[in-house]
Amino acid sequence: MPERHHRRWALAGLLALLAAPCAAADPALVAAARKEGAVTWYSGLIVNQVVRPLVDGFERTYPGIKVQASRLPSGEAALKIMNEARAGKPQADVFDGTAVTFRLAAAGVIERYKPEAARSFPEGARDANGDWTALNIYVLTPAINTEMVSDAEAPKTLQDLLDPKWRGRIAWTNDPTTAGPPGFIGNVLTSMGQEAGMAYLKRLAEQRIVNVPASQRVVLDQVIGGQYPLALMTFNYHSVISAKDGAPVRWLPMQPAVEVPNPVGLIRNAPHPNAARLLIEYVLSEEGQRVLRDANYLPANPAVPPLDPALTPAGGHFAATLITPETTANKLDEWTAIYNELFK
Amino acid sequence: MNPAPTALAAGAPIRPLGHRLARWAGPTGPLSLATGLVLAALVLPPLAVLLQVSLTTVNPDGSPGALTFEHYARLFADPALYRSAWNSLLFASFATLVSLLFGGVLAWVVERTNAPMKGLAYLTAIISMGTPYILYVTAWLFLFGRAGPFNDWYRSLSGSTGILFNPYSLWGMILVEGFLWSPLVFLLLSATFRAANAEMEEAARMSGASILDTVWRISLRLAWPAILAMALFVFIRNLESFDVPVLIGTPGRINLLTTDIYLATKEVPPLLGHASAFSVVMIGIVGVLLLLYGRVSRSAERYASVTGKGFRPRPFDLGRARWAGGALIGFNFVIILGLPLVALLWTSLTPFARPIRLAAVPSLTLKNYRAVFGVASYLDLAVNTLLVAAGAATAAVLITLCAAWIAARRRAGGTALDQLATLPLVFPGIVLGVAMMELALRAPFPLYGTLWLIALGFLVRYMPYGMRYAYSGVLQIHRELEEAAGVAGAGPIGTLRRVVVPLLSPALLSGWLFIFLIAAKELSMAVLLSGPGSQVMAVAMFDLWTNGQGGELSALGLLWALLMTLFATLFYALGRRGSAGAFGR
Amino acid sequence: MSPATLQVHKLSKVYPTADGPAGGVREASFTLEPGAFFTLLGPSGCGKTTTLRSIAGLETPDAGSIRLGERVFFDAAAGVNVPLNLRHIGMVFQSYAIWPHMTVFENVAFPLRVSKQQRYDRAEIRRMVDTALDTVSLGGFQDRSATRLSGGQQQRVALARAIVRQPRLLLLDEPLSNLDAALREDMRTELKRLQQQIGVTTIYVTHDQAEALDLSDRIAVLNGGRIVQIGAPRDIYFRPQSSFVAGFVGATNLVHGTVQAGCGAEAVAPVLLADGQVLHCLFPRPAAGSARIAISIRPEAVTLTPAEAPRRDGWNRMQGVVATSGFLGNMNRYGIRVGDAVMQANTGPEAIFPVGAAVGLHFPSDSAVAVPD
Repeated sequence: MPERHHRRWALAGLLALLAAPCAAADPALVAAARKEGAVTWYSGLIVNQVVRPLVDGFERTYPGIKVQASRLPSGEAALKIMNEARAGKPQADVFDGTAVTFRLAAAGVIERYKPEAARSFPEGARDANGDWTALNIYVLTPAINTEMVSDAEAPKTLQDLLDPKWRGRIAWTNDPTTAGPPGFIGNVLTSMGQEAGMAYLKRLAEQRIVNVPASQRVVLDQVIGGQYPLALMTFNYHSVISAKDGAPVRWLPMQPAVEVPNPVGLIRNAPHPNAARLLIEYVLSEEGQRVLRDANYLPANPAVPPLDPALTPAGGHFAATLITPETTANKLDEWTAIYNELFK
Repeated sequence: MNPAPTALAAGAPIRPLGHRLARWAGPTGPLSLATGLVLAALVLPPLAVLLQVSLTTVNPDGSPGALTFEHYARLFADPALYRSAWNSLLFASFATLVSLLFGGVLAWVVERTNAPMKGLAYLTAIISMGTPYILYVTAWLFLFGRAGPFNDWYRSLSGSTGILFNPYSLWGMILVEGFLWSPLVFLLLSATFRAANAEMEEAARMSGASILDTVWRISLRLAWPAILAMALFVFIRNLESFDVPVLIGTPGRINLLTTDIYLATKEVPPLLGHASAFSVVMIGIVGVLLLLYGRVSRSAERYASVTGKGFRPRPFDLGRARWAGGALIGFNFVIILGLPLVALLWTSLTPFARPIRLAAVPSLTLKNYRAVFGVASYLDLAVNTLLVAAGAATAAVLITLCAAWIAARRRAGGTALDQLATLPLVFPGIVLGVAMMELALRAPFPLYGTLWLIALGFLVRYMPYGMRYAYSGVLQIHRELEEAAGVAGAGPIGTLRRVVVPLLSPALLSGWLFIFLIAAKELSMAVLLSGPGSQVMAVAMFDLWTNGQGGELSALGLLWALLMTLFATLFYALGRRGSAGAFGR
Repeated sequence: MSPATLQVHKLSKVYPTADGPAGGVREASFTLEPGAFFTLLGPSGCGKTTTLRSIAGLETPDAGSIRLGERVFFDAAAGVNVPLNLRHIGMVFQSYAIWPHMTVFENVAFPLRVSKQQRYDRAEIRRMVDTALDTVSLGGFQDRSATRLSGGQQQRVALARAIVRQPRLLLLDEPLSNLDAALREDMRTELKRLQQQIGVTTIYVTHDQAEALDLSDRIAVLNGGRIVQIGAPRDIYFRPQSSFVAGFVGATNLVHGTVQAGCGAEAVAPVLLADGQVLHCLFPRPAAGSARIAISIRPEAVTLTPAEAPRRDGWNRMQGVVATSGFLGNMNRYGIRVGDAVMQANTGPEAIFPVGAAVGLHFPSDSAVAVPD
């Protein structure tokens, strides 16, 4: 860990040196941001792995602008941002998170912004109106404990999950977002069609999937620890990270996988709008995206391929259902209701 | 004498109306009033927010919308309501029983007998309070779960592929919750037993009673008000407990009343109406329970034991059963502390989550510890956390000292103060957090996002615990010790400062330490109230937990528990010396 | 400060319970001259402690008034209720209430340190505490931990604390009840000396009639929440106004009868007993003819003679048979069967009658005191 840590720091410093002269940011924006001197970021990302390296890189590139990052789970982030807005005292400038974005859009607290850095992003990775831009991509797939499940036994298709041998032995998070069971349900309904999808889900519910009241990562750890042989809806890069450490775990490219962009955006009436824009530009820039990549995340910027290209649908050549914040806004409540009815 | 034809002369039990007013005009009236105002300012605004949230719909922008009873309707419309309510009742009752039996017997053995290894019991209680619950619960689940060493050994011994223990069951929940709160029971009841008048027990022994008889007929009866208060308190806490029902019940598909509510608060944004409606119903139930308790304990003064005559409780000689007492202390240590610590230590040394097996030993590494020490910002977080927890504990002890004194002595407004100070017990952390957030955003001075706000939130949340410590402490002080101060010319404040506080100092110190320790690990409010400049340790631990950095979390948790233990031990040593001075022991 | 007159007027305090009012005191009135040693005497639950606590300010009475000198402590009608800490009273509690976290010195210095009326400097406090401790013969105990004292010593500390600021009123709540018998005698003497020495008006609560008679200038006997008699010890003992007082203060024989002819106060008149005997009794108050009364005859007033001895002039004589006898060193105690009743007679140790002997009981008519039945 410290090795990686140091390397990351060194890398960030080096990149800063290299990138500073050719930073594409608009000088007027930089000047305005400098004047504001600070920017506040409510982030759902992991502080030690991603947020701090990004902040360090930004502060190195734009000395004089201090980033204050606050780690918030999606629910709490939504609550805080909305309450602050209603009280007329917005505190944060920048937000990110799969589950918050569509709620914030509905609440009207997002300031539209189309970052320069995202011009090359594919369509599914940015909002046409500028509500959000993908910071990174999550790919959610099943994962197995390789000591408990041989390659031959491993389920290959969604239908394989219905095999009675899995009854009571499959786990998933109870996270009520598109990165949790509702996302899985949406994937099934989208790929199989409403009728066949519902029929499938009813049969799957009979497998009595264990709802683990914890994050996707914790569910994966329970698979690694031998509590469950198989988990659904895990972040595939997590399996890769753990397997590198020797953990008996492997993600399954079961098709279609679920692909969820992790959006970043600007908050309306933000106290530091220019510094906020500058920060968004930075994290989406190739330099910022390399920091994400080095932390094993899947960058949204097509110019920065992931460390393991096989992790993305494009690089790994597997089909995936993309669930954008718009889809989420339209469908999440419906999918959550199905989850509550069938699986709880 | 010519008797006036008044109601009094006729012997009717009528108190003149002016009498109630006279109580308020008494010397403690202003103190009652001041304490009441402070308590009301702390408790009523969150209560108002709670009521509002429970009675309104939510607009898309998060603002309260139209009036609705839907949240209450949903509480009662749940088709599995009776099943959940029954599970909740079973869970709360039996977990209370486990805590009381285990913590109570332990407290008695440690305080009133000559069993060996008493220090270990205190150490166990303190360290366990300094360890975050989530680590605890996961450690137990890790040990007793499907892949845990106990089921592993069972499988290798019996050759079966099944499991011996299933912690994901109602009984698993009851045991975990029971053990989780037994240190609190232990600490509170040990104060009661310590102050018990040994002569009463000796008189029973002289009358020919066996030790068990004496305990059953005398010791227990004498401590009854304290035990009852404790039972009620733990029961209420268990009834509204979220963490264990969710962590253990959800995978086991055992639904309690709180399960659904917890899940609603996990949506984005959290749906708080349901949780608030539940809290309001709980407040009603708890109010009734507290009234009942008030009736039962009205005679509590009879049990006052620290008299002005000086006291020196003498322990029972258990004879050979000493070792049974020692074994109980040892068992307590193993269950409450030893096993979870072993699990934590194991997790902190493995590079990824692995069952405890000999084969995994070569892969053990210190990388998690190196990672923890490599994060410089943990130092800031630790300092923030200590400041906030210490501030909240100090304020809570000061306020509840006044409230408990007035309540325990049945001065004007005492019952109201008790109820006010106990009310936050039923606020779910996230609801209280939202209320505090709303209030801070409307505050005319910069409060939002500061450490002050977190401290304030913790203060409200943990006041009920301070209240219990102070209340049972006051009951143990013989009334005449205070009356003597009053007659000698001291006003209420003087009496408090010069007589009550010094005599109460052991209880106050314990209360302070308890609040400090649990506040330092509070999560649900900390996550909501922390600003960028006011992050605390629990948020960092939450970060590690959601990210599945179990190894780093365990390492950090262990180091944190170690720090807390050092802190608590130092504190206890000072406190003991202080109280030794006070009581000539 | 000079001692002051204490006036308690129609003081009432009842404790309502589910079973109706219990304990407490009703309409108690008395006035104490400055420097008086006044005792509230009665069985437990008679209201004596409630009265004392009301005067101290520890209880808020329901009705009545309490004033010390010109200062009104409490007046229900006027709505006056001086907080206890401003009443400037010294009090010794039954449990002594010695604070275990303070030294002897600090316990005694406490009233001076918290005094609102007057500030005392260090030297004054030291001097006054030393004086108080010397007064109770505890000089040199200043630095002792309060928990390392014997019962008698704690009692003295409590006393020193009560008198240290020279209060105008001293309240003592059964202060001797926790001491052993020998110590109790010593402390009783000590207490009397001390009270005379400092001359403070004192109210003493006890259920022990010997203490009350020995210490007091005046005694109020309470029963069932009411004061049933107030008077000097001799009055209480020799002129009880009720059979309760007669029986509670000292041992007595009660004989029931009917007044034969009405009489005035302090007169001796004949009373017809149920068995037809006539006794001549002292009537402290006027009595009407044919009223039912009780006669109190103290055992020590009875002289025993052989049965045939004649009745002395101005004396009553009854006949009986010795039922029990006991030798107490300084006297013999006999139980004499008279008709259906047993009367007690205490005689000098030299008068010896065997059990079963027929004896005559002689007592002067002014020792047979008529009390309401």
